[in-house]
Amino acid sequence: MDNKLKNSEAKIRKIITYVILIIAAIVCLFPFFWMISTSFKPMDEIYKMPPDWIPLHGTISNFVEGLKGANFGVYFKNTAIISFLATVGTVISSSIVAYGFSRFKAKLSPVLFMVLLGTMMLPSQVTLIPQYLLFNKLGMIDTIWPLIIPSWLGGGAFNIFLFTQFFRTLPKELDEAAMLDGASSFKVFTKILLPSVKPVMLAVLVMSLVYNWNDFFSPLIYLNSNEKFTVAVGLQFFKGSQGNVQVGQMMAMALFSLIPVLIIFAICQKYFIQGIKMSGLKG
Amino acid sequence: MKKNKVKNKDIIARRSAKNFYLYTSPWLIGFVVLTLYPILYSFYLMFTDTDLTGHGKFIGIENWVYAFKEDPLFFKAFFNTLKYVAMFVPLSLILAFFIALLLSQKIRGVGFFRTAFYIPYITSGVAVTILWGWIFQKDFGIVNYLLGLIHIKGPNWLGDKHMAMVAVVILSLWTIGNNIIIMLAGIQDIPKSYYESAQIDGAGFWRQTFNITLPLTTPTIYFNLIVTIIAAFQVFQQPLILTAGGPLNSTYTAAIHIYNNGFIYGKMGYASMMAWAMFAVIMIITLVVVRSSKHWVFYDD
Amino acid sequence: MKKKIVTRVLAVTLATLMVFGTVGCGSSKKSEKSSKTLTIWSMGADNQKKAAENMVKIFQKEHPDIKVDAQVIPTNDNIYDQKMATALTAGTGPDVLMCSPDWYGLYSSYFEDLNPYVKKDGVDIKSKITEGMLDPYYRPDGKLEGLPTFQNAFALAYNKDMFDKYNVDYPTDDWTWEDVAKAGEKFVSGEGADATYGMVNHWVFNNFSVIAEGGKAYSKDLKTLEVNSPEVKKGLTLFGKLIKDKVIPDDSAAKTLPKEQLFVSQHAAMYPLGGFETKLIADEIGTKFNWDVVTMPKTPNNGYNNIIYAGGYAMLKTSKNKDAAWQFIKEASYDNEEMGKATAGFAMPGNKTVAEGYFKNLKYGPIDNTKYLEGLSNAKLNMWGGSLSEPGNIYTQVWQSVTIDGQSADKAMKQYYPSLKKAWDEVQEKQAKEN
Repeated sequence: MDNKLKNSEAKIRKIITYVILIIAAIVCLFPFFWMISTSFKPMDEIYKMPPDWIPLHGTISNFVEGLKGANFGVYFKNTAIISFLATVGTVISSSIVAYGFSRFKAKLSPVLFMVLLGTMMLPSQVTLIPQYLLFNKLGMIDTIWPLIIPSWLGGGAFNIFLFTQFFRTLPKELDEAAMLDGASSFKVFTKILLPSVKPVMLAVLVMSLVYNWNDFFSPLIYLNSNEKFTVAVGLQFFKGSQGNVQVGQMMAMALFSLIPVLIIFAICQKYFIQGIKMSGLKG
Repeated sequence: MKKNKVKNKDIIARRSAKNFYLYTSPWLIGFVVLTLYPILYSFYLMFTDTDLTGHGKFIGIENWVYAFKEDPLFFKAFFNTLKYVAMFVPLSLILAFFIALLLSQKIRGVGFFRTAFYIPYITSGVAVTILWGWIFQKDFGIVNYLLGLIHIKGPNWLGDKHMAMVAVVILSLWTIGNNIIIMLAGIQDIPKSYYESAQIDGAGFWRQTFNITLPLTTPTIYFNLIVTIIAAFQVFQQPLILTAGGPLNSTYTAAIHIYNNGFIYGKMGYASMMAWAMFAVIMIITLVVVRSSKHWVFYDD
Repeated sequence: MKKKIVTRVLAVTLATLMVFGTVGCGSSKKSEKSSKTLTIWSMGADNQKKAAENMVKIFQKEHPDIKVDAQVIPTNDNIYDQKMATALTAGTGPDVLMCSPDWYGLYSSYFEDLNPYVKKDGVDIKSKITEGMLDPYYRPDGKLEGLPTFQNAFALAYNKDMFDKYNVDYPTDDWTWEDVAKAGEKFVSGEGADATYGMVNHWVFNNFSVIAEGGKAYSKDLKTLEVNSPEVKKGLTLFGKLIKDKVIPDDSAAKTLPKEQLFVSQHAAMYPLGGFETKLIADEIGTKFNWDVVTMPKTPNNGYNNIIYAGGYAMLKTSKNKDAAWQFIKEASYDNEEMGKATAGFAMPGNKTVAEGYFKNLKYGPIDNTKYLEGLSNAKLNMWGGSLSEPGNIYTQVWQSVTIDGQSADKAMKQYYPSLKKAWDEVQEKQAKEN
């Protein structure tokens, strides 16, 4: 009797869960769906009010024209290179730095940690120009280095802080035991700590990838040559200074450029679950 | 004997310090080489009337006096920002936690749902910004259309000075995909054995959630709280894209004021002063949160 | 021990710096080499981008001896300005830079005075440049900051089918804003998704409210603020009433929505059509409905009344190829018909011959460019750009409190004029100091 009641309770809970998730998913998928729909619409159908969700006269001309109009093949390649190098750098360097912050102490470590957080608190609008001057002194304007080097030097306070938080949740006895067995601190990091925070690693990987993929501001400021531009900058070429927009082509190219990110996310999210390994470790 | 112990401790402390500097060196180098100078420079600019082109002279605390006494938008912008922070931060944390909680259940198609919730963040680039105006349009907008289905006359979201900030908050809540996956990572990290023993004790779903999941996710919530506060204070893109700070400056945030003064009006000195004022506010609030964390964040050791 | 670590960190820092340094030296050598090429930055998207690229191609063909490195930079939401500001500050700008006279001297100190070049050529450039386009490039002190390449004004587009359906007479070139208001009322009907309006709410109305009833923002020499006048208040009142009567929807604050969509989807009968979007909107309308354009409504005393957005090229003082730069600037403006024709694809060219011939006859859907050319000498340049942005943003508050908050023009002006005046005086002070 008791069991039955529990079972039906669980069932109801499951149904509610699904209903909430499905509604929320519709809300979230809406812009994506709109992008797809718009990118297949001919010019004179885009502004129909109220809109048709399925294009009446589907067309691929937005894709054809969009690809013809600007250098999207090149932008795509540039974006892939920059995002790859920046993402790899972010994952590696932020996890290493976080290891330092979470496992070791020096006199200055609490202060430095606040400094780390502090770097997130000053609006970038006022540091942009001096930073640009600095990269100019280093001769790196119109190269991809200003977009990549910061990723390899810590990868941003956000990611360091995130890793630090997760390392802190891991019991210290783990690495102390390994150290007593003669493992070096680096080995402890790669063999014990990193494997335990795989979901976080993947999260940082995905977030950093999406960030770099979509970032248009830094490439716009630091790159001058059109042939070095990224997709996010290229998409701006559909939007005129007076607010007139080639909506169809812009959606088509945006959609096109998002496919690889989506695929990578869809693959990575599977492994988010595998963090449960931890329970074994703690036994 | 005693001496030896002290020495041992000393060695351990030294080794720890050595390792600390060794492992944090990438960031330390980056900070010293790339970040420190811009920060110091903007700190210096705060006391000058430097324009966009870098010309200016030292004027002491005149920028501060101007902000507090003469600039009508200084307090307005800060007040709007506080309003945004007060609405967005709690809502985004609660929403992210509950969605992550649902996503951590054993359900079919969980991969699909995870991807679905992250998609708004992926598609948040320039292309979708056009859609945002559409969603909140008062006559044809999707939000008001849906409200119309249940016989509610939707507000003029972007034209009403009382509603525009709400629209900005809703828009921001849409792209909390990062918060969700971080929260999810936190929840997934909780050892299953805890739940198993709770189930043996007969704890139901909600009791498990509040007694196990919530306390053990506090390090993650703590992280999300801090970074969300920091980011929310600097909210810029959403109000700029949706309403350009209007109507009647009701969505005019501190970051927009900094941007306008720095880049549009060419008052870099004044912009720097405001940026540092904002820094101070964020720092104080963060310190309060950090201090309070001892009482509510549980590390599992 | 600790000292050792500190030195080690320092050593690594230095090493990194050195690596950066060598990379830096390498590329700075490169940029020295490339200083013999003419670098040009244009702004623009879509058709404007294509026009800029075509112009360079034509120039390149005629001057194979000049090596050109031309880049187009996107422009919406001030991103061009931001890129330019950083580049100018760092001294990494190009030789030739697309500029606009509505910057009102914001970057003057970086721009070369072109008067000596004009003098050296001995050409009467005024007779070669489209009417009214050259003057805004002269600063009040006489400095010539750039030469015009293009400009865009507005025309009043109307949906013939809707006018027929609602039984309203078509607009004419002699309409005033009062006529627009009278006709517009007849289209007001429906709610929610069925709502129809007389006219679209366009961002340019903010500017038009100043001049619609014959007012002025400031004196011609940019010295005296004249915005607190009965004419400007009358203009504000006019638009306030248009919005209150729902002839124009009250969505002035909404920014992302493409403004033409109400017109294109036949929910608004009239639209102030910018020259920069004629082709785009003709494409969007396609064969959905019949439409035409007349000149923008006139002021009560029958004066032409238009707002202009303009662009041209300026030479940076830091340029090392000033002769080549001048060659490009003048050809882009008036001295090369083919380049003028390339510009005509998105705007009225500065080249007078091309503007009055080739450009005038270009056809987009049912309309041609004739209406854009009428009454240009009376048109006003976008009034609140560049160094006047801060007073401009305060004027936007006046505009929004009349059109969104339903305040009277008097009350709104009373509330905001003091701060507007203060911002204006600040600009004056700053520019006086620079001269």
